[in-house]
Amino acid sequence: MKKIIFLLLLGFSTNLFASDSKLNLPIYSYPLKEGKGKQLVETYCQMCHSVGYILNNAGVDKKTWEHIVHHMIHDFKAPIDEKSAKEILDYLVKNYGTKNK
Amino acid sequence: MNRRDFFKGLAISAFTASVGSNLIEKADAFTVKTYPITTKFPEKDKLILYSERPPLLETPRQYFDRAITPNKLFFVRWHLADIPTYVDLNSWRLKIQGNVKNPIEFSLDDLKTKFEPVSFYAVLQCSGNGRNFFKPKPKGIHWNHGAMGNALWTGVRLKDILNYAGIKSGSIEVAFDGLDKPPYPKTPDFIRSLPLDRVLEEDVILAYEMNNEPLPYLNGFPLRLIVPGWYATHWIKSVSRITVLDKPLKNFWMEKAYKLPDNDCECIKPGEKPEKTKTITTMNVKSVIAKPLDNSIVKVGEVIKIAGVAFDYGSGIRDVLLSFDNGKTWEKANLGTYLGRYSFREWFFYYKPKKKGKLTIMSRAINNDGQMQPFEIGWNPGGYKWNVVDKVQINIV
Ligand code: HEC
Repeated sequence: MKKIIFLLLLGFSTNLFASDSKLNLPIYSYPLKEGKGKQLVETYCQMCHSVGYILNNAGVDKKTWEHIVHHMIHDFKAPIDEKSAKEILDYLVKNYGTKNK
Repeated sequence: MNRRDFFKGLAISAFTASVGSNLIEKADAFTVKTYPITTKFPEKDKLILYSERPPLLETPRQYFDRAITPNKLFFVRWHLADIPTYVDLNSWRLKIQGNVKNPIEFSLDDLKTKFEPVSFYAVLQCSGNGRNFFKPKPKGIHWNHGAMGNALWTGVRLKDILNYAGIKSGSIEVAFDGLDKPPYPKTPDFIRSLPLDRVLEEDVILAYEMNNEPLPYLNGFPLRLIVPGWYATHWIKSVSRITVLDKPLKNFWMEKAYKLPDNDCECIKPGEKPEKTKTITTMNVKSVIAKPLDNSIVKVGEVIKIAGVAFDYGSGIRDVLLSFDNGKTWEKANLGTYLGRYSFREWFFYYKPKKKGKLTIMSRAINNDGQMQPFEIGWNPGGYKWNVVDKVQINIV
């Protein structure tokens, strides 16, 4: 059985400001599956949000992953060059596509 | 129901995730195909974790056995990860600007003292609540039933505030901006607008209290727009700037996000493109079964309580019907106290299982306009407005 491991790496809070009144949000680390393109995903796809978004969309088809990556670049202005985007897409389809629900 | 069944019952996700149980509190350990329950968020109790940056947290289904969702269990959903985690009320101001006679700023105290306070219960539901049940899987956050909640909202009428500032003629929309910001500056800020005529209705308020407490930061402290009957995308969190407009607001969020196919079924074939789209607005009629949870084990002859909530866009719930024979016959559930037309209506039913085996329980709400939950709905690209007849299966032994 394929398992995606949600690893709670840092159980403590981000206490950047050490002020009682500030809300301290936890940090999670979501290990992505090993494979070609993983590093690019780690570099580009965690800039604006956690990769929880990616794991939560696991199981969508190729067209949908294409749409998502394009949506990040076009609508949210993700600064990803074409070559990297292609490699990221291949990684997502292979590791989080319809066969990987 | 024992604790193990409780967690087993959370197995309603199509996604496989298993947790390094030694790294999570013991009480949270589980081995079913579902997301981890987190207790690590300030202001919050046990919620299902999809992301922490921005926080996306779902209320587990079993808490919908009551009409009022406690703040600690209320779901959390932000679009942009730079969310407010501290607001100094001494310097915080609500700005009213744009097509008004007197652009003006209010402190939270001004809002509480200068205007008549209003309170009502209203359901807050994400447009994509239930997205996980659509097949094929649309993109987005794959919420099950728990991207919704019902609270008592207290605040001031938007109408009163705008009239105080003086709306200039030619105004058609009002835009709302919250304190959340995109971490990458080129990403469009989350700003949305509403038609002026909706904004001027009596029931659109800016709430500074949720269930008689200040709003949790994670739900939009210090001030949240309340648009009862309409989906949560309109309920802007941590509102700090309101702009009256004489032309439609144009940005990614208004032009491309939260759109439905503009046809009778609000649906298309998966993979096709809708010819025309429209902005999602009002909620549809819906009931959710909170208890028993899916796959619960119950004994022959032992009475169980079936419980849940029902709601719609504001006509109010007329009936909730239950079926134990796959929809052939229906029985009326008991309705709980009426808390207003926009509120969850609690419902319950005592049931005595007669024979061993698997049994499907279905719930179907009917509103005062005569609309009822369908057995199936068409697909839409956003995975919005899921309101199919709810079902759980129990195991009678
Ligand atoms: C420039 C910022 C930015 C970058 C970089 C970025 N995203 Fe996103 N992404 C967003 C925003 C903003 C949303 C949230 C929209 C929402 O919550 O409604 C989002 C949402 C998503 C979603 C949820 C589905 C959806 O369409 O809303 C997925 C999946 C996703 N991103 C995947 C990715 C992947 C894969 C990458 C790397 C290729 C990536 N993102 C890089 C900004 C970004």
